[in-house]
Amino acid sequence: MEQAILSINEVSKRFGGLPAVDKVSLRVRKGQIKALVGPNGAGKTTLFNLITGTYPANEGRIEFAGKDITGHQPHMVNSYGLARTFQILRLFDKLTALDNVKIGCHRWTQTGPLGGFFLTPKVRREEDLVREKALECLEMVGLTKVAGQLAGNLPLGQRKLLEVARALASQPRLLLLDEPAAGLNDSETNEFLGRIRKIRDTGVTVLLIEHNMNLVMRLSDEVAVLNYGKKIADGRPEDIQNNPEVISAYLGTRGLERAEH
Amino acid sequence: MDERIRKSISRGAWWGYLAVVILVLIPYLGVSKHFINLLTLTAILGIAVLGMDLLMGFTGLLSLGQAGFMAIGAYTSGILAVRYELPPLYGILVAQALTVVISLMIGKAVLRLKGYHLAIATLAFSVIMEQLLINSRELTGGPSGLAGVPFFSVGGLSVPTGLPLYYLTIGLVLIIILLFRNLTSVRVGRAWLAISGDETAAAMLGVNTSNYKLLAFVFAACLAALSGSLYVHYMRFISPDMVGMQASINITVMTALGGQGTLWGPLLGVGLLTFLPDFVSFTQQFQLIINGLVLFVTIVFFPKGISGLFTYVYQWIIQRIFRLQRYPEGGPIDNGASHSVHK
Repeated sequence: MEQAILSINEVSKRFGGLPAVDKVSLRVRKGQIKALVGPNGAGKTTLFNLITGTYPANEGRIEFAGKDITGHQPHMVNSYGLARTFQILRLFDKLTALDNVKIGCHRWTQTGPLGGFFLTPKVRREEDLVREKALECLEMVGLTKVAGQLAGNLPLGQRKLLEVARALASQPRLLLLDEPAAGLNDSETNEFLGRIRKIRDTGVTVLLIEHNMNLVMRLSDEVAVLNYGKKIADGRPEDIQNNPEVISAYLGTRGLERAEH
Repeated sequence: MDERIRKSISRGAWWGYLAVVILVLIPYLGVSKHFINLLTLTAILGIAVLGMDLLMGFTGLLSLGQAGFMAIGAYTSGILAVRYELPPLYGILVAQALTVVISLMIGKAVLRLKGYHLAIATLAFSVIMEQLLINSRELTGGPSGLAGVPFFSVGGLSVPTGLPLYYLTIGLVLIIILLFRNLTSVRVGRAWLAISGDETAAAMLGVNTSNYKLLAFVFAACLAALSGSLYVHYMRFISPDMVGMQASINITVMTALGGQGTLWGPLLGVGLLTFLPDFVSFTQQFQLIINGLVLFVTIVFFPKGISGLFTYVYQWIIQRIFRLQRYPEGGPIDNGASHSVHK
């Protein structure tokens, strides 16, 4: 079996006694695209927040590349090589697209206050590199043309891509995408699919939350399904598609009956 | 026209050079000594306001307690000069060291608060400082203040209030603007802008938000303390109400008035509130009302402050004259240090 880059063991999160994530275990293998699906409120985004340290888990253990990262703060988690996008976009609207992506370069750059004050040659070199990398990331999602525009002025499709570019700029090993295709039209979704594959091909492992089942089936190597905070299925897309529990979670038990006929 | 010249015109970099030339030559244009003194005062208060701009304009942290740090600078310098007869530079050094320690402690405690909660906590700090100064009579002279502060001096060479102090403070302000303009145009400044934009996103992009907030807070405090140190030598007198709650609020108001996030904008705010009472001196008793009106008009009609208005008019004019596009072909990819302009 290939090496797991992310392994989640029996992680739970309760909000005031109500379990949002209930003893979920999940493994993401290096180099794959894994999808996390499930009805609204199933705990997918909560699981993302637990992985990235936005809030601590009540129990369980999260390992990233063999290292225990349970309860580590978001900026620490990012420093290990994990980046994410947000379902409700969190762009820096008053900055240009390019500046947004440049902020993503924070992880692997070093300039501190002293170098920053005097713009030493080393800092200038780093700035050139940051600019170059940021433009590369914009290119990868096809946003080079709008590099100089304010993020707040871009249409939704481009804003979603910009979040991906910004996350990529931190040069992550694992990229978490929270509903990246929600609100995109069909042609945008198709384009998006190609871009995610290209990102995977550069060696980045992808874990994404997605509602568009068509996209999930075409894109992912593996799919895990959450319902009411519990994992109810995990496997190859074609197996998931025929799993009765998944069908009932998505369509209700009557849907299951209909599907059996 | 050469691309680089076009860019520098549209970015308004020439304004900077022009401002420096005017500031250097202004004493020879037949202005009064009083005018020079007001400019000096503008520069001195401008240092504190520059710090406030880092805090509010770049990092998005609202503080109403900057005069508390000014008080640390002013009283440390004042007491060391009056009671111990130490040279002013020692006063500045001791004040800076003291400010770093105190601002680290206070920053650690209050920076977990956000928005108005942070504003109230910092305001409380300023009020406590004021009370502390009023009540420690032996050291500070209490409510009647500390008199007999000598002129500023460097290495035994006196820098009296007037032309010498004017050039010293103007030079200092220019250096500080340059340093922080550099700093805010690279990684540290981007981290600050990220925190101001969205703290959660900034953290997820690897920015250690609490450390960067603390950094901005300490810088702002040190600049406020430096401002206080110079202020006490300029005034040659200090009393608690000069660096009390009202002064704290004024610093924040002047920053907002001038236009946050530009470094130079807030200086216009200081200038306006320093010169205004002088031009309309017949209204001494209506001072606060006029300040309030100016603030009200600015916030309602020019939300980006005076500097925002300037930038807008300037862009409008150069577009007419030079037929320059603000954003050639879809946008200025190379924005260098100018991201603050978009604020």
